[in-house]
Amino acid sequence: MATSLLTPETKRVRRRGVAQDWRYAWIFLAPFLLLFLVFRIVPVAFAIGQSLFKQTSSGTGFSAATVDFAGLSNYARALTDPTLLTAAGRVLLYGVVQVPVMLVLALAMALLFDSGMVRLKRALQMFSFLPYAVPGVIGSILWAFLYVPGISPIVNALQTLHLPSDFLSPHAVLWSIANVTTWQWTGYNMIIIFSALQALPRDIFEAAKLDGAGGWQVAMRIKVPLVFPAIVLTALFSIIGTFQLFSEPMVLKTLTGNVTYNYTPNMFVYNLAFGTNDSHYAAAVSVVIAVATFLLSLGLLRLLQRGTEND
Amino acid sequence: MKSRTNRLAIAVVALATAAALGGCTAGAGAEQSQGSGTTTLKFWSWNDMSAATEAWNKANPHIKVEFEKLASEQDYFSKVSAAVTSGKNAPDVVQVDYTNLPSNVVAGLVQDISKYTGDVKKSFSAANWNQVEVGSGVYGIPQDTAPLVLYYRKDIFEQDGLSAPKTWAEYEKAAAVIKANQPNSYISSFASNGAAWFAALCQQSGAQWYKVNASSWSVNIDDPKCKAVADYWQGMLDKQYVKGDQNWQPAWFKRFADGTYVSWIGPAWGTAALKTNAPDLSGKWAVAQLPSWKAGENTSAFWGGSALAVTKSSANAADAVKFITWLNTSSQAQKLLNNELGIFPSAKNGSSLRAFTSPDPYFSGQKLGPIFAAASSGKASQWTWGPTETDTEGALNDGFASAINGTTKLDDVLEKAQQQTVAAMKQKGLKVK
Repeated sequence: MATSLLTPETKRVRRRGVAQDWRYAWIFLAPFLLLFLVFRIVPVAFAIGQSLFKQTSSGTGFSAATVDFAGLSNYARALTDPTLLTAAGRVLLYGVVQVPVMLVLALAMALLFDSGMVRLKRALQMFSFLPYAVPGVIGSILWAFLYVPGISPIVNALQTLHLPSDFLSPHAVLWSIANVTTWQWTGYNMIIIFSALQALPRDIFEAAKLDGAGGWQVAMRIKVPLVFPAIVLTALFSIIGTFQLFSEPMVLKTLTGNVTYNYTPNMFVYNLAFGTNDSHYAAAVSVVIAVATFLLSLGLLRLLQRGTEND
Repeated sequence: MKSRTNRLAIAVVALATAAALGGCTAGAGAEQSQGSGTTTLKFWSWNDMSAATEAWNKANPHIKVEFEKLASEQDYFSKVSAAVTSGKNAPDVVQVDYTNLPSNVVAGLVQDISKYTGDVKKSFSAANWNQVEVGSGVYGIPQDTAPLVLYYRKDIFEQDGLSAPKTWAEYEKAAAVIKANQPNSYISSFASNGAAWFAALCQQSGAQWYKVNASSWSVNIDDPKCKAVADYWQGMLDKQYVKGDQNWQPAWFKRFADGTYVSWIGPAWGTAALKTNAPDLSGKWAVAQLPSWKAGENTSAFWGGSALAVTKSSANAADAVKFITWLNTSSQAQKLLNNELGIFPSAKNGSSLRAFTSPDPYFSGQKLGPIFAAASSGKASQWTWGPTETDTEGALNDGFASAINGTTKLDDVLEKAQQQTVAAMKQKGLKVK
């Protein structure tokens, strides 16, 4: 209806308006793009550039080292490096367990809050989101004190009951780390899923109820499929987080030798850059980790989307 | 709607991976500050040396030193290496522990100052000066030295009819007595993060992990003498005379305070750790010389200690050496540093500081100066640290943790560390004989 009222004159103004809109858009985007370029694109390009070189000393190494172009040799070394593969295998095992556990918890909590079955909804929601507001390192230190025998009330209680209490043993420590990250991130993922649930039109649920669906059926057959994109998003965040695992094991490392020197891929990169002083290889390994994360996330995305299409 | 989430998700993945990449390059900004007419030196350390620096600035207005304490020793070297490599806002003077000095030399972070040091060498014992010599160069002025001594609970040892063990065999016998009389106690802990501590014990046994030849390195981490040390501690672990434990963490400190550990093979700088974490045990501890392998033998071992070095990016090396020489040898600076940090200075005049010549009530009224001086005057093998020491320590500590868990033996840990170290050095292009 509106278009029919436009005179040629107003149409021209409109067109000029579009061009101006773009100019304004660029002005508003500029600060972001500038920062993005300086702090993201340039460092990434720099890292990729670094990864193609190799610093070589000779003899005793006290004379100046040479930096030579090394092609893809750093990458070839990374892909067969047993230290990197062990660390990657460890975080994969961790991710296979931790990510589903955390997401099921987050989804269950989001559904409960959405259903209105919970009293004190606001307070509880706030409470479950709170760990996310605690900086990662601080959260790890808090938990570290709960794992240390002789100081932790939890360990003391388990010991008096003669139950297993060694959270830092070689086999338990990975799951003690998983517990810290689950504590930290469940609330955050819950909020994402919960917001998606709140955005759903309520009349669908009423229609379902009229058709005789119970609360459980509404949740499983209507709500979960409708918020599936949000769940996929949280899964992606979590997988990326899994590969980035760094500060939690670094903190627990001060407490136990069972978190080894190159426990996760990121710790390996850190040690290469600042312990071994091999920034070129460190750059190559970080590129490999980034690409692996990217591929894995894409793979998961494809897999999950095929799953929904088949429905 | 589905395709939009798809695109969003890919964008998110791309962004986050970019963040991961970006994280590995540290930025350095700000320009170098230069006073007019005077030299300005930047001085970084993980210890607070501001009072001594101020005293220098008052007396030497033409060489102004700006001191900056960096948060923790853990990320200290990453900051130093980022700053010196980029050359921007880089310090002139840095603290480097002896363990990391050769790797800093190989990494090109510190410079040879032998043409400026003159006769400073005379202020130090040969063993202490040896710590800053790498190859044919001098890469710092020694600050503090850390002879190992035996800290022990005098009250419990006396109660069990024991005196301070003089040999390692006596130490093991004492451990058995303590285990029998106090079933919940151990004579000490064996550290899962004790690579540097273990290196000191190997040094005492006469082993030499590294040697610098004309154009190559020799690496002998699995030296038979060092393996004998490993066998000794493996036995102590197997008999449960010592408890495998991560050192320097709250539970470990608590076990000193509650009497779980009744002795500690610790460094001279360790007095503060005991006093702070087990204040109630004042007067119950005593210090003795490190047990030796043969009776009557006087041998030394060193754990930690550090030097002040001049960075490769510094344009004022001569002035920097003047400053660190004053800081590490003048009695005024020694006194201030000792007040602030409680360190045992490397310079010969260090042991005459009042803090070390007056009786220490925490250690049953003993005077620590003569004890530490004696502990650092014994026979010790020439010790050079390796150029890939962080990796070697990583390998050793990972191995110690496995040995404590019973999945490997300390002997094998040394062999594996030897292999990994040689491989890491060759990877850098270094020659290993």
